[in-house]
Formats: sequence, structure tokens, C-alpha cells
Amino acid sequence: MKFSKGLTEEMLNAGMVTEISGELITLRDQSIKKIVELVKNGEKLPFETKGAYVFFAAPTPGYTENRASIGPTTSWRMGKFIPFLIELGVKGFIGKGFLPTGIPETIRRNKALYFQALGGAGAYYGSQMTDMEPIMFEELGPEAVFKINVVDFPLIISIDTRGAIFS
Amino acid sequence: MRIVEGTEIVEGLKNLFIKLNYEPPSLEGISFSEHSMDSDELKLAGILDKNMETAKLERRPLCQDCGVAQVFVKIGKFTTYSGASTLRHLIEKGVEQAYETGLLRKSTVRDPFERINEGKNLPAFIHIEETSGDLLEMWGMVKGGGSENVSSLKMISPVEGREGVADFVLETLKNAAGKGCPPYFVGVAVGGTFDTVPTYSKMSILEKSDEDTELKELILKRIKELDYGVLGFPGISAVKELYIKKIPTHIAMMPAAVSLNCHSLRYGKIEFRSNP
Repeated sequence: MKFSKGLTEEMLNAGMVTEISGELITLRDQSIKKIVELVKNGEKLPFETKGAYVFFAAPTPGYTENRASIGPTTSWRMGKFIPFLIELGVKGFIGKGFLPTGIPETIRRNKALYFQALGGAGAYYGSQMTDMEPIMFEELGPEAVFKINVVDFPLIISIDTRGAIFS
Repeated sequence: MRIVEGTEIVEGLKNLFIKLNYEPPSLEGISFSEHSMDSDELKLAGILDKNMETAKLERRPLCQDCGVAQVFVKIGKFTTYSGASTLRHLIEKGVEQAYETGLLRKSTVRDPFERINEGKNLPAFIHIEETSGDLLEMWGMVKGGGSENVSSLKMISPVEGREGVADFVLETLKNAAGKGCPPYFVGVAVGGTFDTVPTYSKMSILEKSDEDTELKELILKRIKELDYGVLGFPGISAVKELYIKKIPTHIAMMPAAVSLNCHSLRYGKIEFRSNP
């Protein structure tokens, strides 16, 4: 993942606005539940989880026309899956709002990162995507897993790798 | 009796719901950037302003949550319609076509527990009122889940008066914080009954109601108690607009409802003149 002003993950400070460029994997309620099942059954996932950045989001359908909107959903509901995703090697989480009690601690301990995206800025975030493709559970519609590439995607750093928290 | 063609209603609603998701009349002339903001808040507000511009120019929905479809209908007593046995049928045909052809996300699930998404964004949530004359008027509203989840209703004791309502509005806004995507457009309704007051709180937004200066000032004076601004981060802009509507009620009651609407406020009206 690339950050604005040439910063690295370790240099990010909670409270800052940063712009990221790179690959994100979208997950949310239904898709995470299914992934938990797959991993439990020892199946391999079609994306690299080590070092991955996960975006809790569900886009609109216009991606084949390059007219999709995408934005964060409430992280609270996905909080309980964060320890599982960290175990798979996920490094960054992007969503909206607070996390449930105990989860910020887990993120801190593992030197992972939590970012908040601007709720409802769907059109703007959509325009900062260079490509988007469904890679799992296409039948779930907006809740499918998408691999997306973003450029200068503005986020607020909420938990940095030193464990500082801004919310 | 005058008749509005059913096809006109379907087409009209289809176009209205597409427009609401890309360039709603309710956001015309709105800017979220304010001089009194610090540079961090201004940066976030600037992205929201840019978001409205991008939606219009690149034809991307304002928000990925294209909401539930709500329709408030006023139908003149001398008006009827052709093409279907109920208005619901025509309205839902228009909504379904809007969400399909408009590349909008369908978020309505049929059963609250099974949560099966049938991919039509139906049913639409409809309110119908009869009026005099021969005009058929429909207000469409696109309501996202985030801000709907932090809206609230309370049966307040009449002795608590305006102070009691102001406390409730502030408490609702404090609990909401960033969850519903502020700056909020806030619709407050006081009076009516347990079932009607939330509907009136939404109507207060459509009508830009300003019916009680004293209550409005009480609330605005206390807005700085909220320690958040754009999107719930530190700042000053938690509330963009505040609307207040009053309704007659029972001697023992003072129901109040607070409808919170996110920065992507999406509503608009369409009128059908019937053919003589």
C-alpha cells in the first residue's frame, strides 16, 4: 500500500488524513461469514490475505460501465471478525465508526491499522477507483467480494501501528 | 373525474428516483464547507462537496447506499389514474425500473430475519393523502440505512414542554454522532400519535417546516454541546438544517420524533396534471 507524501505504515499517526493507493478487498456481513466457513474447511481463498487491506463496503452495480459508487459501511458489525482476519495476516481495515470493545486492543497488539473512510462519499471514492472485479460470491450482489484498485483514496487514520487511537 | 395515464406515473417516478440518486433537487445550492471550520474539518467538508460534483459529472450515485424508496402521495379527490388497479402497483413499477436502469444498489430485503434481497428494492414505502382539487403530487425520498438507524421516537410528558423536546433532540444527536453521516438535516415533529409522528418528522423535511421559533432557538443554542462535526470527527458542523413541525395531539400526550438525514439528502417532487 502506498500513502500520500511517501509515508510508510509505521509513519502514520492516528488523527491524520492520508490518501492511499493500492489494492483493497471488499468484505461485509454475508461474505465474511462465508469466508470463515471456507477457512474452517481448509479451502484456499482467491486473494493474498497476508498484508491485505480490507474495506468494509458494498458498492453500487455500475462497475462494468465505470460508474460505480463505493463507500464504507459501519465497522461495528464486522468487528467480531477482525481477530480472525488478523490471524489470516490482514494488515489494514477500512470502515466507518467505532469498533466493539476489545477489538482496538487486538489491532494494537498485532500492529495492524484501522482507517475510517468518509461515510457516504460514494461517488467521490468511486471516481478514485481504477478497477474493480468480483472475485468471490458474485451471487451476493453488493455483498460479493470485490478486488479493487484505488488511487489517492482519502482516509482518516483511526488506529496507527503504535496503537494510538483517534475516533 | 380526470385521469392521469399510468404510464406517465411509472415513467415519472423512474426518472425521479434516478435523479434523486445523482443530482437531487434537495441538494441544489448546498455546500458543506464553512469559513468557521478548522482546516481538518474543511478538508472533509470539501470531499463531500466534491462528492456531489462527481455524482453529477461522472454519473455515479451520490452514495453507495441508494436507500429504501419512500413516496408521499397527495391525490386530488377529482383525480384517478389508468393502467393499474392500485397506485402502489404503478409506483413500484417506476421504482423497480429506476433501480435497475439507474445502476442503483438494491438494499431492501423482503423478510427482516431471512434477509433475502430480491434485487428490486421493493416494496416502496408509501403514504397517501387525499386532497381537494385534481392534482396528483408525489414526493420521492431516498433514505439510507445509516441515518435511519439513528433516528428516534419518544413519548414525552406534556409537562416537559419545549425543554423536554430539546433534551430529546440533543440526546438523539449525541447518540447518533458519526454513525449516520453528518452534517445532518434534522426533521423534528411534535404531537400527533405514536404511529403518525415519525411520518410527520420526515414530512417536516420535505416541507422545510419552521413552525416553532422558540423550540428551534432552544435547540440551536445547545448545538455546541455536540462535540463533533463533519462525519462525526471533531468540528462544528453536526447539523446542517433543522426543521420543526407541530401537530395537534391528545391532552395527556406529547409524542416527538427526530428524523436524521445524512449529508446526501435525497428528495424531490413530481406533479401530474390529469387529462380532462
